[in-house]
Amino acid sequence: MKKWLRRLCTAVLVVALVVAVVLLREEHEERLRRERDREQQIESLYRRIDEDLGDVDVSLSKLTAAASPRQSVLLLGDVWRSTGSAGAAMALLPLSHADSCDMSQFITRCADYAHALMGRVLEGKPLSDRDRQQLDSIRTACAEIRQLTGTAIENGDYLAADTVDLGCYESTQSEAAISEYPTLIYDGPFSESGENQAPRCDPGERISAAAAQKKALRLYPGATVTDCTYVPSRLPTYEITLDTKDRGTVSVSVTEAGGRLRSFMGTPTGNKNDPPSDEESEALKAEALGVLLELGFEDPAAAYAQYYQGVAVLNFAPRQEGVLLYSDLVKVYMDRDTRQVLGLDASHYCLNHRHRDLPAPRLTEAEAREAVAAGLDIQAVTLALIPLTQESEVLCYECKATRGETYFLVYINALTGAEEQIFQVINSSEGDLVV
Amino acid sequence: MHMAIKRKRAWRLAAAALVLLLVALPITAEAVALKKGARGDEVVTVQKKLKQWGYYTGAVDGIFGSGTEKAVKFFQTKNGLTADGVVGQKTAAALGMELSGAGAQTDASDRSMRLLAACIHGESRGEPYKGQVAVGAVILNRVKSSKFPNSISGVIYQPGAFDAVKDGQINLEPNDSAMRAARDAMNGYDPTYGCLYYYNPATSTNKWMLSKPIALQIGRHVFCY
Repeated sequence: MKKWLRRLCTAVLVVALVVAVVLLREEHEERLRRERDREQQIESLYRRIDEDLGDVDVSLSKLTAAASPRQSVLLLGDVWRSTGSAGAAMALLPLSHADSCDMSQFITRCADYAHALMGRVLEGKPLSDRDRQQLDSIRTACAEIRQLTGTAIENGDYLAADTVDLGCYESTQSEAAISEYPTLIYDGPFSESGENQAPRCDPGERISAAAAQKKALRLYPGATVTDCTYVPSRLPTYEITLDTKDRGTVSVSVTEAGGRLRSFMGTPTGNKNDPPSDEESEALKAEALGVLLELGFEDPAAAYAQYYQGVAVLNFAPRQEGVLLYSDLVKVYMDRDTRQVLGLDASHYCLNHRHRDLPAPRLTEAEAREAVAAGLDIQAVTLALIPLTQESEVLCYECKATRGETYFLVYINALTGAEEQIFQVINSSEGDLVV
Repeated sequence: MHMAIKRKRAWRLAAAALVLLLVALPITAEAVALKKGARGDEVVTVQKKLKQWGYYTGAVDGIFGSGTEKAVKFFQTKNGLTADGVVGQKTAAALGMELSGAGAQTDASDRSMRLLAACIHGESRGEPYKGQVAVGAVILNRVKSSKFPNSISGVIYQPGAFDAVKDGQINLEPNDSAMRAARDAMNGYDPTYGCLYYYNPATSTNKWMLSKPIALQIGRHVFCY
């Protein structure tokens, strides 16, 4: 080999070695930096939980000295915000869900409870002795959680660091727990009673799997049952799979109690995405209404609708004595190409529908209109029973109103005149979106 | 000697060019993020949105100050995002806005729907359609449960919760089937009847998950409460 070539090769090798060493060192430093960032992020989340729960303790302590509803609401608002912030921080920690879900649940329920209490105080109802006891138990539990977070911060020993590679559902056996999380009794979306609420429908006679299959086959005459599974859900249900001659595989579910049709769902033929014409939407509505009446649903009134990927989803609210029952909403899925019913979801109806003792309104329609915010142009008013929480419904005047181009549904309590709920209806190319 | 100096200069120039390139890349990537010190119409939009939703109480003046930064952090924590006070693409998406140069505008609900569809696509591509809706329903059941974060993004990005997030499959473009499944799930169709967990019994070895009573099986996934 020539001398200059040997020198060149040596130079290239030296340069390659230097580059490799530099790159490796950079990679190592980058890895260290990322690990440091991650540790700092975890520490900051621990500190935030610690600070937030400290704020909760202070607010709850002040609440024991509060006499006015205004001060109580402000302090409960602080509790709501601080627990919400602590819960959000906890969700970001790479903790084992198996070990930490009880703590997350407790923090979520604290926030939910504080929010529910704010509503109650605003309605003029003072905190009860039970509320005071429960708020004390929250302080005790928060103090215990802070002991855990405080120890972790002081020792730099974060539970999250051990669980990151194990995955969310693998227990580390080092539980992020305190001795006992208090049970909070209240009415809210995340309350124990709300989450485990038993069906409120009229109880019916239990039917067998064979009877459920017979009911499913009535929908699709000539079909063959390929599977029937008993699902022990909140409302136990038979899940029946049918092989139909012309509509492929269809799932039908029938409740065990009362043998009510809970849902069925097929596959659409087309993929239409354009907004429907008035003629099409009216035809779809008429067809869906006919099928609902045929299936035995009482006096359903068409509510809002959505259109996407060949499907129209039409929502119907059953009525009792002319009052819309929004807790019992039924959804009908229509195939836009064939204009035939494709599916139905009556889960809410099956869970909630029963005969209600509806109170007589104390407000007149004119008084309800007066209670709506100035500047809103009211288009229509009707009586509706709306769910306020999982456990309570209120009779309201539903006022459809507009302000400029914006469309609202305002619900005025028909007994007290209170403004119970406001929804905004967004008209999009896919139909109505209620937010 | 003269040649050696020239080569050194060439190396230095090349190294400088490389350094400039490496430095310029992150600047380009950060150009579409809003943070403390930023000013302009996009800051006005951020402030308006935060104010409208109760996160911000200061003036809508188009100046990204410490008040705006604090409000952004609060918004990020409530929505399961990294609370760094910087409005990047993810935070902008959660706010229902697009930062300049980031493409066409779509609204916040569309973004949630697309995120749900992306997770369904990454988790249950190849499953029967009902199984895809079921995965979407489990995500939405978690949003409604006290044991999980209370937003779609919070549930999906909960550390370690979904394989599709861990292995990056969530970044794949969702197909029509996943989009429809997301819409059906958002409309309330729940083939799992309220389940909070699912796994593939052929591959799962997780004792905690396997100890849960099975409610039903759809495709290769079993679902439990």
